[in-house]
Amino acid sequence: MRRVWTLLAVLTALMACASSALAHPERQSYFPDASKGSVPKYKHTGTPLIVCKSNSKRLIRKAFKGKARARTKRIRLRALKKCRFRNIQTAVNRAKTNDRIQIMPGVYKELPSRKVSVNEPACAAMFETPDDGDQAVPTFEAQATCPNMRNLIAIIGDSLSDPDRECDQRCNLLIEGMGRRPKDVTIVGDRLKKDVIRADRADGFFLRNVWVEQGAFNDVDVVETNGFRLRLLVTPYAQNYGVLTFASDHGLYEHIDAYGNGDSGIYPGSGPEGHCQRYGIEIRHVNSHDNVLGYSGTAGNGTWTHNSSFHDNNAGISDDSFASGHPGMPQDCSKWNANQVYSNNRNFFTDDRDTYCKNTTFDKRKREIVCPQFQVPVGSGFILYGVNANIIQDNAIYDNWRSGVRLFWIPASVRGENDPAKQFDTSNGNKFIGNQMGLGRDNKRAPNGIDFFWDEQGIGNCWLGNQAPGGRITSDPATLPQCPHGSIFQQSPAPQKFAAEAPCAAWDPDTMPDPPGCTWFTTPPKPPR
Amino acid sequence: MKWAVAAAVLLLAAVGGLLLLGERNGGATQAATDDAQLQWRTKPNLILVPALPRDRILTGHVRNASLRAVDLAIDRVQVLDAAGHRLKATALFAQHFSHGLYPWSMHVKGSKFERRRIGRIATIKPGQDVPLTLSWRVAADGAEPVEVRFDGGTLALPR
Repeated sequence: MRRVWTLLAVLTALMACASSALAHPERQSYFPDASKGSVPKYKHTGTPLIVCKSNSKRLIRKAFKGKARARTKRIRLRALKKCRFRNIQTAVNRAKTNDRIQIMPGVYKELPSRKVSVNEPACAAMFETPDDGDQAVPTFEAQATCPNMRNLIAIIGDSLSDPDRECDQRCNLLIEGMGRRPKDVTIVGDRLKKDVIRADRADGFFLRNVWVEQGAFNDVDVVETNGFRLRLLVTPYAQNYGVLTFASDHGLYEHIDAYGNGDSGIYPGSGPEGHCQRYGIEIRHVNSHDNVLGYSGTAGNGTWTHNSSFHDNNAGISDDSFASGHPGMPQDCSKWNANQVYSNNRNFFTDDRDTYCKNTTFDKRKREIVCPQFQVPVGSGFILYGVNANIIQDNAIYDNWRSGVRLFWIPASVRGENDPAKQFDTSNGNKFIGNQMGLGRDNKRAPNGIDFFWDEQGIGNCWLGNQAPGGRITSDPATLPQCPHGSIFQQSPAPQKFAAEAPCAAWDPDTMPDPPGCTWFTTPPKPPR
Repeated sequence: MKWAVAAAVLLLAAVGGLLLLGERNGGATQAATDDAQLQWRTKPNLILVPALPRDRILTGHVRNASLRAVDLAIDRVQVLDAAGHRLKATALFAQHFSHGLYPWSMHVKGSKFERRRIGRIATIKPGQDVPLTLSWRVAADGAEPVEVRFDGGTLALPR
């Protein structure tokens, strides 16, 4: 009889799934309360929880050689004597709010976490099928109950004892590598678990001076977290993202080297909804290169990126409104200034790479080989699709052989909103001011294929004071609307420009690696200097 | 009592199965057939791609002139030359680029909502139309396509 009731319950659950709306690779997420939270400051006090490896002593001596570093070496060696943990997760489990975790030099593979199955039976029922997709994703309950099912190291800040979605355990946690450089503390993903490090509702999370690599989705993932700081990190070779933050606020990325990732080096997606009154996430001194994208942000709202470099990717910087289920759509109100966006001409869409990628799953690939996860127009600096009220100012944008900046409309239906009144709610009000186009750091000409490529749609898009060596910038259309007034609404954007991009949607290494009509995957010729 | 519960289980299973089937088949609509009377709303626009001399892109709107809604899916679209040979081609029920939520490596087909959102499937109600972008690569012998086939229904392609 009990079996029959169980079967009945399972069938009822199946029916509920079949009739519900559909999903997204992250659970249904919510922005934290913007009236609270702040970027965490570095803590010097408090007894640290110390993690080490058996060879940490030797590595400390090696890292801090010489007289100039003798004092630091002594301090590290003294701290090493207090080491009580061999794995970072064990220390995280022991940590309380406001604690510090210090990781001594070594390579951290987190073997106890690796032993946890990615499909833990205890959490099998804790998945949800979100509104916009069909692959079940772990709920917060699953992350809290089975933290190492999908994450090598999980910092879960919210307890399950109340429904408030706010941090109440392990908040303001500092996790710090104690080497001289990030490489001295290397945390290696197992290429199966989605995240190497996940901070989930872990308000005040501060990660510094570590090297994190080979996440099956992300190297570092910060979700629904109010207040975070990611400093002095190296994040290579994730299947998708080096650093991803999602539905988080009051954040700072700084001094991050991100490369070799199959989507983007950094991804501040579903960024803070500051509605152009504030920038909730600051990104500075980031060097993102040799990824498919240097930066991407679906609903990448309210970010301020400056003094950073995005180079030698397939494309440099993307913000868009392509997806549904991302809080904060459509994308708006970000700013880029004083960045270097150049030479984004690497091409991972070659025939050889396609063949390798489709025949080799991530867990079996060579560490350094990047397989594109999404398609991009190779040779592009900025690619902006469905974005509003952004400021691109005083950047150096050069040597991108297809185009320096692309700006396109995306109808609201693409993000699942079918209200006719919203269909033209992107791309409007974007400003391109004072950018130096086509001039390299050495002050030599390094032209873009074309400086600005715009679909001619939208209200209030404007250009002012952008310069190129030897005369005018190049653009299509040849004349761009001037700031402050900018463009007037056009309901029918240039159809040829749209049509030329639509076939690229069919890209799939398995079935259609080279869609007819799509030019994105052929490296454009180097423009004459 | 035991049998009553078992009967209830079977009934639920049957209803669940029908719901799933309905979801998959799009409810009361039909697949495109000759009877569906698909038409171009206006003459579609053929675009040459200078960088790819053998490639063509065609954009237009497909109208359903029948009295029943029609379901279309890009994986059932074929572009054919006069001899009936299939050309390498893509189709999209949209006129702009977009992509799905899931990286290709996850091999997720995508829910019906997701596929509709990015133009991989479309339902055309009677008298209405949907945007369509086709692209194809002309074969080495240079034979241009003459028609696009939607799971039985066809539309002529402009020369």
